[in-house]
Amino acid sequence: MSDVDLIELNDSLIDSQYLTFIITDEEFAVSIMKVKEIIEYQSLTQVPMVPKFIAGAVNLRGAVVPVINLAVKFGLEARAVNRRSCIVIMEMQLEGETVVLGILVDKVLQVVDIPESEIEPAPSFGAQIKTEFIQGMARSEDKFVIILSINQVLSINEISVVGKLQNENTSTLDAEVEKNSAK
Amino acid sequence: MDENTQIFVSESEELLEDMEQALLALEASPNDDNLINRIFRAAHTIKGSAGLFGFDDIIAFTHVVENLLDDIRNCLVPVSVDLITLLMKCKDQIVEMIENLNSEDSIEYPEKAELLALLNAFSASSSSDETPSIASVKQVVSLESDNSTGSIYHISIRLGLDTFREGFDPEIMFEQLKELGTITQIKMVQTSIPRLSEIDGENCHLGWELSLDSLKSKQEITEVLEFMDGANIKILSPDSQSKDFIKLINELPEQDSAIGKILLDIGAISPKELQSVLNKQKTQGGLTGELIIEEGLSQEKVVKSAIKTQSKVRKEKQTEREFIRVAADKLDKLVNLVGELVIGSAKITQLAKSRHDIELEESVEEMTQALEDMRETALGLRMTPVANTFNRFHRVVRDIAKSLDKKIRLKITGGDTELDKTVVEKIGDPLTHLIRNSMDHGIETPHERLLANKPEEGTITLSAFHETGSIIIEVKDDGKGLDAEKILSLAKERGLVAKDQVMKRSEIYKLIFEPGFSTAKEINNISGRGVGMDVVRRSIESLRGTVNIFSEPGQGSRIVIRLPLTLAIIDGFHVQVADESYIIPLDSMVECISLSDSQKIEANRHDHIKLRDSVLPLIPLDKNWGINKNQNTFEQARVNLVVVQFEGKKIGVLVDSLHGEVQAVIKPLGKVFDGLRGFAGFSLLGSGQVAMIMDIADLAKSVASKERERHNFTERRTRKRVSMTDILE
Repeated sequence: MSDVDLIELNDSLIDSQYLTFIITDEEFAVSIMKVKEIIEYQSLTQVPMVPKFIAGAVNLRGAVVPVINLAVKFGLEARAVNRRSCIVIMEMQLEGETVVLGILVDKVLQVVDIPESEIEPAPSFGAQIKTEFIQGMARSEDKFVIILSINQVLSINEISVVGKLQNENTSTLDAEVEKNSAK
Repeated sequence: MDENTQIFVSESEELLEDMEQALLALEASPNDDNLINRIFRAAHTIKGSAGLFGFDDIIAFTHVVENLLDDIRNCLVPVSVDLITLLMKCKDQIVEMIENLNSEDSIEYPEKAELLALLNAFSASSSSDETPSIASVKQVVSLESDNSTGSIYHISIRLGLDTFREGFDPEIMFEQLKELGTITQIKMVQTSIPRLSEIDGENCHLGWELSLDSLKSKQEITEVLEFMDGANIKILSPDSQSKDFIKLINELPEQDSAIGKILLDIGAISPKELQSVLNKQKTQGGLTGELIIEEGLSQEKVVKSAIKTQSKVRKEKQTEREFIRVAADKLDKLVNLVGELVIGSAKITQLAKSRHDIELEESVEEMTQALEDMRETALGLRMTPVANTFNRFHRVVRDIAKSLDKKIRLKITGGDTELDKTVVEKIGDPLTHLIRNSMDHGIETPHERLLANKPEEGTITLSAFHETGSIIIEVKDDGKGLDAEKILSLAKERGLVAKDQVMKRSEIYKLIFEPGFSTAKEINNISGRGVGMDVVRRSIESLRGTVNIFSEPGQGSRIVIRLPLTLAIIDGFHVQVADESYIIPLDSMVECISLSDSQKIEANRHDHIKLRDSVLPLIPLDKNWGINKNQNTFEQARVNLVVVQFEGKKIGVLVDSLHGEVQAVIKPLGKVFDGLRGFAGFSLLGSGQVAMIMDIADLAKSVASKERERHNFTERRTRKRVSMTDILE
């Protein structure tokens, strides 16, 4: 288990409260330690040439916040925006920098208390999403809630694929273009 | 690094900077005592401050430097070029030690021992082996005690506010004065002590007026008092007359105080006399100054001058410019917040207009005006004079000239031109490179210069000035100029241009900014990093600036850098494509054209359009940005064309609607979108909507490289299409 996960587990010992929400009929939970606020869905500014899981950018009181579509990220079938759709604003540490990010959810449920003892480890197979994204599973009434390892889901490697996506060898192409532009 | 250490570091850096400037000036005038004192004081203060923090390494090293400086000051060691070079190296060494204060491990400085040896070799009293300790910071100068009565000096001392913080003990000063003679009279000045409620225990408000009976010369007394850094000390010789009193009054840094007090403090009248005048004033009224003259207690001109000082102090109190050190991120935050306010107010203005409420509109207008002023002011806070960066180059030029065996003078003009702090910081490296190039390749050896009928000493002029919303920085030399033929043949050799290409001179000069032009051969001790001119161009472009080169064979060359005034805001043009708003930087725009029906069909079908008899390539935004809007039908085709240019090439962008000019506050792309091609950042529109700011040059290049990739995959058939790739070729 990585250091990041250990820290998160410690956090959850101190505060075992989770925000639960629905994305494409699945119930997910994240530690409220990372949640800054929840805003109503508002129209997003599309950012061209980025992976599909980046839904766009939104103006949060003067700050431009990228919004991630987790359904796309998890490979689930994304639902159309409805009147319950929300953007959960999270505060993440990416490479030592505090970055504010939004995640698009279909419906916010509640804040629940899940004691450490009731969290079961992620199944090694059979889960809908990548196991490294799952911190654990917890039972809620008759079904399971997936507790997201949000540090993994929103790690810089996972979300900042912008540079990678465009051109594998951007630099060499650049040089070529610049060279040609002089002709 | 804790806050105090931070203060120590930044203060020391300033002092060292000053020390370097003084050293350079000393080279030109080796006998200037003021300069030597300045250098000495810098070293001394650093040692003192280091003592407070217990940075033993720095104390030890600076102590030895200080010893040598003391010898220079006492004319025991003559000033020479070698000596100055050594002292500069020592300065560099101290800089390095201070920079490494943070690191946990003890760092070995290979050059330190060598420098210490050299310092001791230079030093007249090579007995500086004594291990300096923190105590030695307080450096008690032992002077022969002398009790015999000589002449009476009048000394006024006002200690600096930071005296205690710097670790000076005023008591030592008196000890030393006592060794010079007898203090016959002493009076403490209390006027500058604030009220108890405002007092800061660490501030020093002490001041004295004292009479010293001594046989020593004024110079010797001055020397003793000199080490009180930041203190204001005036010494009146025994033969002082009213003239000197006046001078003293004029120079007093006193705060607003009563006339009687001023005169009393400088000893022009006695306390008894003043008391009697004040008593008289109580009964008769009138001004103290006039009464003193009436009573004939002091000469009229002395009193008048005191009155003048009084009113001057009162005036200056109001206009005094004070500097406050503020963390840069706080400023950024303020600028950001003001930017938000401006956006917010634009929103309110729109709302107010829709309400058709004249009163509301008027008050919103007022607020907007005030906000505009506020933004100007806030942006102004980030501006710093370029002189700080420019002055650094004196040293660079000196050192490089020496190693090249050339005689080169650096002339600086427009040092007070203000530029955004970020720009000032980032322009240093490219400028170093340009200056280095000018010295290395531009300016000839003294011999060559004489043969060419030029003065032996070459001149590099570094200047800065404003020009229509931009800052121009120029690096000019009077060297031999660029060799166009050599550049062209080199460029051909490296495959940058076709072998048979004919080019204009100005075009050839621009080749030196091409990547791949400069070679690794350039790595020498002058550059030390082998960066080419393309790096210079790139770093200037990253500041949204441009660089141009002009050269005249035999006359020299001139490199002109144009930079925007600020990085925080750009003038942009708001356009709409499909449902999204974009901002095109105004400086890259040429014109907007409303397309005719026939042009519409042409433009939306091909990636180019015929405009005034020439072919204008278009950036196919839809294809590249994946905007899914069906434009195949005539009604939905884009109707407006924005012609933009970069690097002299024109291209077109098709948009749906034009919304006019905006001042866009630039928000960086941030971690997630870092590396996104074609965009300079985000901005917020008056509506609160996020809009992306296009970077035309980058956009065109990324589109071109994408096309190239496509062409590489699908074999190129007949090339009938004029595309982005073609225009760039």
